[in-house]
Amino acid sequence: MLRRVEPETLLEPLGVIQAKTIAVAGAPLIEGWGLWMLGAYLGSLLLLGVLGRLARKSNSLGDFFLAGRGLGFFVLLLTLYATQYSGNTLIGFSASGYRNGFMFLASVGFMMGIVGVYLSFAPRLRKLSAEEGFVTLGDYIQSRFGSRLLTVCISVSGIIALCNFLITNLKAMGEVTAEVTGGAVSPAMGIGVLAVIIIIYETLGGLRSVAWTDVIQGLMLFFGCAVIFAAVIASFGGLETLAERLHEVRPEFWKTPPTGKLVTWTSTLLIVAIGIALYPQAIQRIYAASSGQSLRRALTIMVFMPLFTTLPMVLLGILANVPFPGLDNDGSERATVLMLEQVAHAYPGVKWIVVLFVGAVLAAIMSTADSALLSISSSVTKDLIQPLNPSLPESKLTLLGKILSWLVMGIAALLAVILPQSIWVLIEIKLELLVQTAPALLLGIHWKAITARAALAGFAAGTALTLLFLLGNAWGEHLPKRPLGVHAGLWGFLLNVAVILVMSRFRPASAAHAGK
Amino acid sequence: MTPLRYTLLNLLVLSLTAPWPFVAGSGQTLAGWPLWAVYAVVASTVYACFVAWSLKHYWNHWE
Repeated sequence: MLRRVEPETLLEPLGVIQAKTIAVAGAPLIEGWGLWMLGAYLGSLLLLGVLGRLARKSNSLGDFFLAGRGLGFFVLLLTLYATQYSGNTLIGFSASGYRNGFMFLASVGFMMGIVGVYLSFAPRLRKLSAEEGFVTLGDYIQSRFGSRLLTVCISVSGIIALCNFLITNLKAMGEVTAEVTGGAVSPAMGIGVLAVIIIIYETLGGLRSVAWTDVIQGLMLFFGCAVIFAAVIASFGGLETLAERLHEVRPEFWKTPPTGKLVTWTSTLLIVAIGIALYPQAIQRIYAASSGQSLRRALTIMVFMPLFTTLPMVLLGILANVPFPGLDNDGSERATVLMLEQVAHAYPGVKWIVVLFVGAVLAAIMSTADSALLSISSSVTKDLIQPLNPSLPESKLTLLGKILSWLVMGIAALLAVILPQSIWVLIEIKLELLVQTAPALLLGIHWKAITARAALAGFAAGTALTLLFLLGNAWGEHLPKRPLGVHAGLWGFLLNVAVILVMSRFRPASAAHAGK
Repeated sequence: MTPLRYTLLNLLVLSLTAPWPFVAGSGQTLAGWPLWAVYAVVASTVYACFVAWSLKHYWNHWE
């Protein structure tokens, strides 16, 4: 079972999908034709894997890991969307809305903020990647700074974050499968079957197949959120009626947040926006764009998507307090399902909405897991193995990447089944660590004066400060996770930037000539 | 505008989507909903428009 997270933590739904109770214990959420529909969906993913393999243009890293740098506007938009929104959007965000009330509207801002941060570096990075053939973030770092140590540090940081993402999503897959089948399929079997499906379509067609499956998954997620919200609101008598009834049940939601909460709200906006924009799988989608204009148009749509995805699910969770007041932490994680069950009970003709919900959750989880897996295998292949064997031909590196995908998926699936409760606290801190990658990228891409030594020192200082607070807090020392209400990772980020600026400002003359 | 200035401005505008103007706690409502929550949604929408406008105007210059 996953560790409970303190309700007041605005970051809570971003670490672990808490999907253990999406159905009534022992009763399958869907059966009969619903299961056939889900089976057809899973079969279509395998078909897209085969089509992706047939569309291959060359046996190269760029073709396999970046779909030949040919993703156009529509596919790019939906692969960015499906990757950015995981199963948490449907489950975790509603649960947080239920517990935190309107405070969790912060999630709408931070999901938009991710796109705002992209604009700081994506135009230049995409162009550089097309000119110099980058496949991973590590490729850019190596090209810009020429420091193998910095490249390895940043790559390993990304791999740790991605492994976290992969394992938690696999774990959620198992729990969702077990719950929707009423326990007929065990979590371990659910993980096994879905992991095999992912690995097959991924090794067949690489990012091309992953992006095509993201189109289906993104559409299911988008329409799932919209239809679920509309159905629930309509069946409960409209938004205004619900507002009146909510005020009777949870009047404390109407209180203005105190200054301390607003500081944490702002800190959450910044750390999530910067951290998620730096996810390696997001960087690779920037590289994979067929043109700068395709990417620009996709991001222009993406920035408004939280209004149609995040906002409805948060409101749904908040409004679940009306028909289901007093749910505890575990109960609140069923907020969306409880609302759907209510609708399906009142109107048996719309039972299909429950099937749509389960499909959307599975789609969101699988699209996040497959992207993380592809990024891990590309980063290990390109950033860690290729420098040791520079003469290896691309075809062999691509094959190595595929073998690595199977290996990583096997280990991750095993860990998802057996991982003990106690280590979750260590892997939940990924976002705060990933933020430490940002200064080297954001400053380095626009400012030639930044040196490798400064970027490395900044990364080390920021990471050390973040770990000091987070691990100190986790191990019972009297250190806050959020000093003065600001996340430890954000303090680390500020120290990181300060170290880079000071060291680059006062660098020795020899370094100034050596720096690119 | 340079990309670095945009980065700072972007983070500042993003920070303003938190309901800072309501820190004094007015307790006002709009159509039954807390005004500070309505502000958070409207401010986020304005922020999205700012990013969309910036994407249109600066993307080509910063490539």
